[in-house]
Amino acid sequence: MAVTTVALVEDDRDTRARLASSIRAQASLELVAEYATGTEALAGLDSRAPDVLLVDLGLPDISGLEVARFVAERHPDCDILVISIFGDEANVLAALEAGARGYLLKGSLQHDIAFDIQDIRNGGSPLSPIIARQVLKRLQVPQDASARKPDEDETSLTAREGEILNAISRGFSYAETAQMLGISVGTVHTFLKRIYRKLAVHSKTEAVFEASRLGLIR
Amino acid sequence: MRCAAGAGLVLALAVPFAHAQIRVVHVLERGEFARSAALSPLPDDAPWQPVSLPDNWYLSRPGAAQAGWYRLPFDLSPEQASAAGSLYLPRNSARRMLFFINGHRVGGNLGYGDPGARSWAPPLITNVPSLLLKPGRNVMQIRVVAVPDLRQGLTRVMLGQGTAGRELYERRYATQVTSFFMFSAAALLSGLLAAAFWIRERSDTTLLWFAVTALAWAAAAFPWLHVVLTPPAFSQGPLAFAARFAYAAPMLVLCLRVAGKRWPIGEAALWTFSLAGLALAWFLSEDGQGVVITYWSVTYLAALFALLIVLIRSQQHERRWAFWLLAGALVLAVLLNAHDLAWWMGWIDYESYQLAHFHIPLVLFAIGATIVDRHFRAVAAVERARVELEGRVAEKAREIEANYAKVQEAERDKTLARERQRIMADMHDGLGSSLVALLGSVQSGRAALPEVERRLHDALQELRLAVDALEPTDGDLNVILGNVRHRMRAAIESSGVRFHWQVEELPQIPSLTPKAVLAIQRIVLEALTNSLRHARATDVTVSTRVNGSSLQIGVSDDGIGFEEKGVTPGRGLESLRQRARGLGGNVEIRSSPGAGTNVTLRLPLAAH
Repeated sequence: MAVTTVALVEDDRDTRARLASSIRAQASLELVAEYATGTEALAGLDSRAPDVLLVDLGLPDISGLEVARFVAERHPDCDILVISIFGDEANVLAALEAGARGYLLKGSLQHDIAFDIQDIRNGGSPLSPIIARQVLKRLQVPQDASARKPDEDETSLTAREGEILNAISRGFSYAETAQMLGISVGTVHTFLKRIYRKLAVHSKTEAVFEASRLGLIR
Repeated sequence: MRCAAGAGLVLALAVPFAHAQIRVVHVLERGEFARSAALSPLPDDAPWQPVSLPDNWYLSRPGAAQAGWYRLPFDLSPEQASAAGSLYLPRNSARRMLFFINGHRVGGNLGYGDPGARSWAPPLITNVPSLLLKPGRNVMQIRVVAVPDLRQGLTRVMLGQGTAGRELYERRYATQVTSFFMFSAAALLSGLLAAAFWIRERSDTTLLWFAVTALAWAAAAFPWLHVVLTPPAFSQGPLAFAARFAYAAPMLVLCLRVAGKRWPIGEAALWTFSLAGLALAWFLSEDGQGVVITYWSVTYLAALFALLIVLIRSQQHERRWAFWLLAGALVLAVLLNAHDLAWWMGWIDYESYQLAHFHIPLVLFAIGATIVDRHFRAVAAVERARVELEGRVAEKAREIEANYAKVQEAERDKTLARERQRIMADMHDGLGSSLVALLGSVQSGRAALPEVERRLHDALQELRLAVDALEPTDGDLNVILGNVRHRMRAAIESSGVRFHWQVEELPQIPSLTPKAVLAIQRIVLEALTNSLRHARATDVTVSTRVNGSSLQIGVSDDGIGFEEKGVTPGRGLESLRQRARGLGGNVEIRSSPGAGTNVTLRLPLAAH
C-alpha cells in the first residue's frame, strides 16, 4: 500500500504537535513538511506538493484560504483539507471555493483525523447537509436543461449533480446516495469533484463580476 | 400693459392739437348778427349787430330757443375764387344751421335733435363749389336755430381750399367720433368677456360690475354714433341721462369693489343722486335739459373726486402698480370731466374738444388690468402653496422614513439582544454546565483521562451543534436531521453498529427558530449517543414519519434496553422530555430489558 504524504500548515504549536503525532501514528501516512506561517508554506509548496495538505484558516500572516488557492492552482492533484474548529458553513464554503476538498475538525479524536485523511484520499471528505444545501442554492439547476447556455456548463449543476447534493443535504451518506441513485460510490466522488470545480469557477466568475461592477476590471 | 396705457393717454391728449399746422384760406371770425326767424338771407338793412366768433349763446344770448342770422364777409383773390373748397365747422353746434354764400344756399347740418350730440359733438363740413365764389368780396350768411341753455351757438367758420377743410374735418372726426366708436366696440367685447367669466365664477362681483359698466357704456355710445336710432323727442332728455347713469354709477361701484373698499354711504348717495337726476330730466322740457347736464356734470365730477380720495386713503399700505394705474386713470377721469365741465360753464374755448367720454375706457382698462393682475397673483399664490405643500409632504416623508429607520434599528437591536440572550442561555445550559461538571470531576481527581477527553469532546460537539443551529437552514428538517448524523459520523462509524437512515422527504418549516432547531438536534443527538454508548446494539435506526399534522422522529436500537420503571428519572431522559415540551411536542421512551430502546419525538407541524 502506497504511503500518503502529508504536509501541515498550523501556527499553534500544540495543535501542530498533536496533529503531527496523529499523522505519524498512522503507518499509511507520512508527514513530509510542517509550516507555522502562510509565507513559509507558500515558499515550501511552490515547486512540489504532498498528496494531502492540512491548512489552518487562521494563520498569523496570510489567510489559510490563500494558501489553499495557491496550492490548488499549482498542484491540482494535491488534496487540501482546511483545519477548522467548527466546520461552519461560511468557512467551509469559502474553503471549497478556494479549492479545498474538505475540512478537518480541530479537537477531533486522534483516529478521526486519520479517518478524515483517508476519506479525502478516497474521493473527498463528506459534505455536511448544511453545506450541500448551500451549494445547491448557489449553483442552481436550470429549470430547462435545453435552454442552458454553453458558458453556464461551467457554473451550473446538471440534474444528476443536483440529485446527489439533494441526497447529501438530507443526511444520506455517499454509499447510501450511490445506492439510491443506482451508481457506484466512485461515481458519487467523481460528481462531487466536478461540483467542487464548478464551485471554484463560480466563485471566480462571481469575483470577476463583482470586480467589474466595482470598476476594478474593464 | 403700462406702456400701452401710457401710449393711449398720450394719443388721446395729443390729437386735438395736431391740426394747428394745416393752412386754411379763411377763418371767418368777424361779422354781424341779426335776430330773425326768416328762412332766406336777410337784406343789408336788417338790424345787424357786430359779432365775433365763436359765439356761445349760453353766454351771449341766454333765454329760450331762438333763431338768428350771421353775415360773414371775406375777400378772395382770383385764383382762390376759381378753386372749389369746403366749409368746416369744428362743432355741429346748433339745432339747425343753413349756409348761404353770396345769397346761394350751399348746405347745412343734418339736424341736432339727437341727444348723443350733447356728449360727442361731431364736426361739420359742407362742400363749396367754385361757381358760387367770385374774386373780391364774398358774403357768407348762416341761419342758426339754437338752444342757449344747451350751449348751442356758432363756432368759427373755416373756408378751406381743395382738401384743406376736409383734412381738418377728418382729424377732428377721428378724435371725436371714430375713437369713440372704437372704444365702445372694445368695451362691448371686454364687457361680454367679463360677463362670460362672471357666469363661470359668480362669486366675483367685480366681474359683474365690470360687465355692466362696459356693456352700458357700449350701449350708450352705440346708437348716437349711428343716427339710425332716434328716440321720440319727449324721452330724449331722460334717455340721455339714463345712458350716462347706466355706465357711470356701476363704474364708480366697480372702482370701490376693485379697491376692496366697502363704502355703503357713498354707494347710497350715488344711487340717490342718480335717481334724483333721472327725475329731474323726466320733468324738464327738452329746452331745459341744460340744468340736468349741469347737475350731472357737477355731481359726477364730485363723485369721481371723492372716489379718488377714498381709494388713495384706503390703499395706503398696499400700493401695487395696479393701484397706481387705477389712481392714474381716475385722476385723468377727473381732469377730463373737469375740462368738459369748464367748457359747459363757458370758461374755456367754445371750440374745445369734448373729452369726458374718454375716461370710461381709461378706467375700464385700468380695472381690467387690476383684475388680470389679481388673477395671475392668485394663480401664483396657488402655485406657491402647491410647492410649499409638496415641500411639506416631502419633509413629512423624510421624517417618516427616518422614524421607520429608527424603528427598524430598534427592532434589529431587540433581535440582537434576544439572540445574545439565547446564546447566553445555550452556553449556560449546554457548554457551560458541561465544562463546570467536568472541572469538578478533574478537581476531585475522580475522572480518568480518557473520560475527561470524551467529555471534552462532547462539549466541543455541543458547541458545534450550537454553531450549526445558527446557520440559515430555512427550517429544512431534512437538513437539520442530516446535520446531526453528519456531526455524529465519526462516533457512528467507530461504534461499529449498522446504522439505518430511514428519513423521508420532510416539510420545510421556515418559522423554525434557531432555538427550536438546536432543541430538536439535541434530542436526536442525545438519543443516538445513548444508543451508541450504552445499548451495546448491533443496529441503530433513525426514522421519520409525517402523520397528518404531526411529525415523528424515532431513534431505535436493538440493544440491552432497560427497565422503564427501575430507572431513576435520570438527567438524560428527563432533559429529553423537557426539551420536547419546550417545542410543544413530547418524547415517548419505550424500553424493556433485552428488547432494545425506542425513543420517539413527536412534533406538531402546524404550531411552527
